[in-house]
Amino acid sequence: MATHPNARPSSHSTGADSSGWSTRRIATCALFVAVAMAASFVELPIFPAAPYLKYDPSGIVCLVAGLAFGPATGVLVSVLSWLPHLFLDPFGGIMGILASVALTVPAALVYQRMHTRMGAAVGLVVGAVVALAACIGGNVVITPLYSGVTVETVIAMIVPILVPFNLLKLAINCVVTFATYKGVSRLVGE
Amino acid sequence: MGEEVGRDVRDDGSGRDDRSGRDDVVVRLEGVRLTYDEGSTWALDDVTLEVQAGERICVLGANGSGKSTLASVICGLLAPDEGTVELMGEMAFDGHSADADAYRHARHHIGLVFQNPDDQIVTTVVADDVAFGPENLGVEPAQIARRVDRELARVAMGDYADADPSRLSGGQQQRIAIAGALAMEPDMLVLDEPGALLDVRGRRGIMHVMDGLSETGTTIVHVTHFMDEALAATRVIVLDHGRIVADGTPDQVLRSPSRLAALGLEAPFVVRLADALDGTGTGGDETSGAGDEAVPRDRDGAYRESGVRLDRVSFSYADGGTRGRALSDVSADIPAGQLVAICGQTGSGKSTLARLVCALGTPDDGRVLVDGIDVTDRGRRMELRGHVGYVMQRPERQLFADTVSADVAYGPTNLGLSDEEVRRRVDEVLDFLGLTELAGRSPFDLSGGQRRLVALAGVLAMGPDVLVLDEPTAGLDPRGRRHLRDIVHALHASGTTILMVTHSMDDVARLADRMLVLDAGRVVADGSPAEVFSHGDELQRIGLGVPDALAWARHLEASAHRGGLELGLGEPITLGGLVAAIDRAGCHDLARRTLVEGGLAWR
Amino acid sequence: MAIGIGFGRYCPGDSPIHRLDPRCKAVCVLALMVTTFAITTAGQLAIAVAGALGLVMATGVPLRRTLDSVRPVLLFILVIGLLDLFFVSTGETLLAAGPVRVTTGGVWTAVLYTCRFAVLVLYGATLLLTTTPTALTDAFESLLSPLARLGLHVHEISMVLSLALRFVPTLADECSAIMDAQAARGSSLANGGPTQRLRAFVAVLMPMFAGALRHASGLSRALDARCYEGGSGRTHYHVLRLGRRDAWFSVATLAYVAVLLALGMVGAGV
Ligand SMILES: Nc1ncnc2c1ncn2[C@@H]1O[C@H](COP(=O)(O)OP(=O)(O)OP(=O)(O)O)[C@@H](O)[C@H]1O
Ligand SMILES: Nc1ncnc2c1ncn2[C@@H]1O[C@H](COP(=O)(O)OP(=O)(O)OP(=O)(O)O)[C@@H](O)[C@H]1O
Ligand SMILES: [Mg+2]
Ligand SMILES: [Mg+2]
Repeated sequence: MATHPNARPSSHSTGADSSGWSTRRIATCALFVAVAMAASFVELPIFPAAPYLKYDPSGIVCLVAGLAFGPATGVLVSVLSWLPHLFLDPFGGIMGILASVALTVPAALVYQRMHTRMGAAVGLVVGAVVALAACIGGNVVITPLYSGVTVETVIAMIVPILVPFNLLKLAINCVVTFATYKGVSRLVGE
Repeated sequence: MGEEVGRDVRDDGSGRDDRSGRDDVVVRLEGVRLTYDEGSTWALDDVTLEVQAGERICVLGANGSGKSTLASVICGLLAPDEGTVELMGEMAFDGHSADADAYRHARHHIGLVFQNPDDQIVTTVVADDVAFGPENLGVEPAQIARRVDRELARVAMGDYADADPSRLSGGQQQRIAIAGALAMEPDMLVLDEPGALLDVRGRRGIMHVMDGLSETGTTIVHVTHFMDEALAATRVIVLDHGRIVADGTPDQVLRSPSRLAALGLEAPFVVRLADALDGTGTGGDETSGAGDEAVPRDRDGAYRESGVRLDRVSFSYADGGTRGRALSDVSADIPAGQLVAICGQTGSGKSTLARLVCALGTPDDGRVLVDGIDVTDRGRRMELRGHVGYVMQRPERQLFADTVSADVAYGPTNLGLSDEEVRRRVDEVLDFLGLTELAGRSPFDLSGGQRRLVALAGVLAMGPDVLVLDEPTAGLDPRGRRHLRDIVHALHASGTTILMVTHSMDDVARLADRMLVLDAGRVVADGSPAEVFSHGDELQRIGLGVPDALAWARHLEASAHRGGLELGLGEPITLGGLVAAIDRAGCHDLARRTLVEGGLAWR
Repeated sequence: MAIGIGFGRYCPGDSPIHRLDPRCKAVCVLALMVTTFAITTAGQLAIAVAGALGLVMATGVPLRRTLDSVRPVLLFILVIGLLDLFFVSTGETLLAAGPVRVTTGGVWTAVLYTCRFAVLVLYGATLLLTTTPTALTDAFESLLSPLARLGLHVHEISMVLSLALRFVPTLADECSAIMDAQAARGSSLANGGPTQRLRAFVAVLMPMFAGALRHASGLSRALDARCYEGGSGRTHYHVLRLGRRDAWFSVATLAYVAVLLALGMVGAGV
């Protein structure tokens, strides 16, 4: 077959990519960013109580990138995939970056130290906790910026709306990631 | 095209002069071996090869025989494990280590174009993409602009400089990729199956560009699965399991059908014809009707309206915009058990039609009935899924599970069958397709052809009465294509209704009961292949050809006509039919003579 | 479920806005966007709306196309407006029906925040609609290049961004093809129990990841074959050059910002 997903072994290197990033690293990051971008445009209102809180699967892509390639790639994918949103939906963009980074970095850091299924599970839980805190904090700060809703109102929404919505979202992200990351790392040829 | 098209017009100082004086060998490989799995198998094994400047070399070989690996080594993208590699007169790999400078230098003079046009386009504007290579080489902006215009004109894409490449057809994208490689002014161009994913017209466009380049003296190495393309080369190389097993002129290499068949290839049409006329060959293009045992399925026995009915169907995509309707006013009544080929050039609406039959979209107007179930009937959607199977374009891309059997089981499980029933179906289908050994493997570890079969198994396991196949043989080598044809034939024999989208007129002639030709979303011909092909000119106009057998019959009749003879061969569309017609007309000797005189490149 | 890649997609054209240097355009548009936060009075709002519509006109992009490209956000803005209408309860009551109360304060807040957000989004859209992704990432690279001295791989990151933008439509098409194929195998994201839905999700995601990696390996081969060797020694087909047009645009932006802020101070002073 024409294109093996497996990496070109370094033993066949022609010696040119010694400095900077290899073209393989650039290409892999680019494709993961592209998948995350495409996913970030998918919007599923999963929570009837707050239809403007949309679920998008891009968090899964960032998480998988973080687990398969390490925290730095996770951050890169999280930030770049939301960048175009900054111009069209700045608040959604900022919240997206915040949520993805808060979820991906802790998970990837834990998994890097503990490279087992258990490690991945622990990492995902830690990431979810951090991300939950970040999302609530972010909402409290940002929502009053783009709407007339006051900080008090947002705080009042934390328990009935923000916590359940974000928990649901994070649960989906973590469960799906847990089901896919192993397959992806195998494809990457770990 | 003006004088600036010539290869010798160079607008910058870099060029051949610094290497003048050396001999004209651009690539010299000696005893090259390369492995991807630490020596258990060799993707290239003891390859020794010299490429002279100005040669046009064609590389043939089955899937997995090492063609792409060889192309990468020649382009200086992969260093081998053993042997020596000399590129552009410099020793790049001396048997032990890679010389990074020599490799870099060589890459500046070698262009590569490969199979998937999507992967080679790096920007969202055509002109910027062509400029990408020269930018990397550090060429002055003014010169880049000149090269971009020149190369886009050469591949006849000058009007598309500002277009978005991801919205162009595959053939256009591939020509942009070629322009991008040429803008770097390479001395040698390597093309790795550039036409594998294109339709007939797209492939012809690329061959045309290659002809022009080779006339102006560019060295060309062309990897392909299409024998007729090999005929244009000055030299043909055949790879098998990483070894070069044949090396010579097209005439020398392609004359032996049995040997080629053993290598997983197929001889050119005229060679097979000559064999058939001599009575030595089997003809080789008739499907063997492999195994008439069908996929067993439960039939309730009760009468039901079966087959597919399309009744004045129209459809347009929401974001189709100015392009108009993807399908307009399509009607066809396909009785159960028929095998219908759906043909038409790129963008004519074939895949759209296939999707509608599978209830993946609902028609704007008209009705689609499959086994009497209206595709718009949401309540019976799941029932419908059990009746109609859909094998998408390049279906190997839909695989996802950890093992082959888990992937195949996915569809039947969704139908809500019992575990036992699911297991039974999976086993049966894997057995039918000869995949039983692979049941426990990861689908991602298989070869391209095997993965395609696994994807097909996943659909067949749902036990469909109606099977919709979207270009099932695209991208496979001749052996894989033949295997797939045999499977389709067997399914047809077992009574499955089949709708098959295809670009191959020979497949239509060999397999189909009926042919439906689309152009710009309308049905322009509908009838048995023999009927439709008898209006060859009309097909030509909408970018389709006729089967080789018919084309050659016309060729023979024309040359007989010049000699004042009327043969009356009729309309044979398969090799067997042609041989029979020649026998009937009693013009065996004339046919033989025409074959010998015409040589391999009769078209 | 179509993926809205029409969202902010480049629209070819030859307007003065199209021809601005992307760096100048990006910085000015960001300034315009940030100053919308300073809008609190009706006068400011009027000027901002006029400014945004003026800019949209100047791009020559058909208004419909512009609105189409921001449609998903417009819906969101509308929801926010409704929330404001019902949640803010200052001023006189205009309408009361059970627990729902609409007040003058609510109406004003809804109008203010809705328009503010719409203006913001229109500014952003003009940038995306009139600048090719390549120009955008060139500007990104050029503007962030000082950070390279801090060790950030600015060139590589902008290359990643530019390649990613190139692949989004391709992957979106592939995604819908895969969803079709799995749907034909009876897979459904919308029905069934949690495990079944999870499987359906994985059945789309895994092939997407496999496809991404397949593209990545092809793309890296293409980058190598086209002699991409990092940022040093590269030239540019489109040389970024600030011209008179950019100067005028910057001056106009500054003037607009100054007027808006001044009006705000007058309003606060009164
Ligand atoms: N990156 C890779 N990692 C591991 N194995 C590989 C890789 N690339 C190729 N191979 C293996 O090396 C062998 C030769 O592959 P290659 O891609 O060169 O064949 P090919 O003749 O180009 O086939 P095709 O006609 O399908 O394009 C195959 O067995 C393939 O599975
Ligand atoms: N998802 C889509 N959105 C918008 N337009 C589409 C979409 N898919 C196809 N089209 C358009 O509909 C028309 C018919 O496309 P279709 O894919 O059915 O053609 P096809 O005959 O299968 O072509 P090919 O041989 O290239 O596969 C084309 O003009 C195409 O550009
Ligand atoms: Mg190949
Ligand atoms: Mg198609």
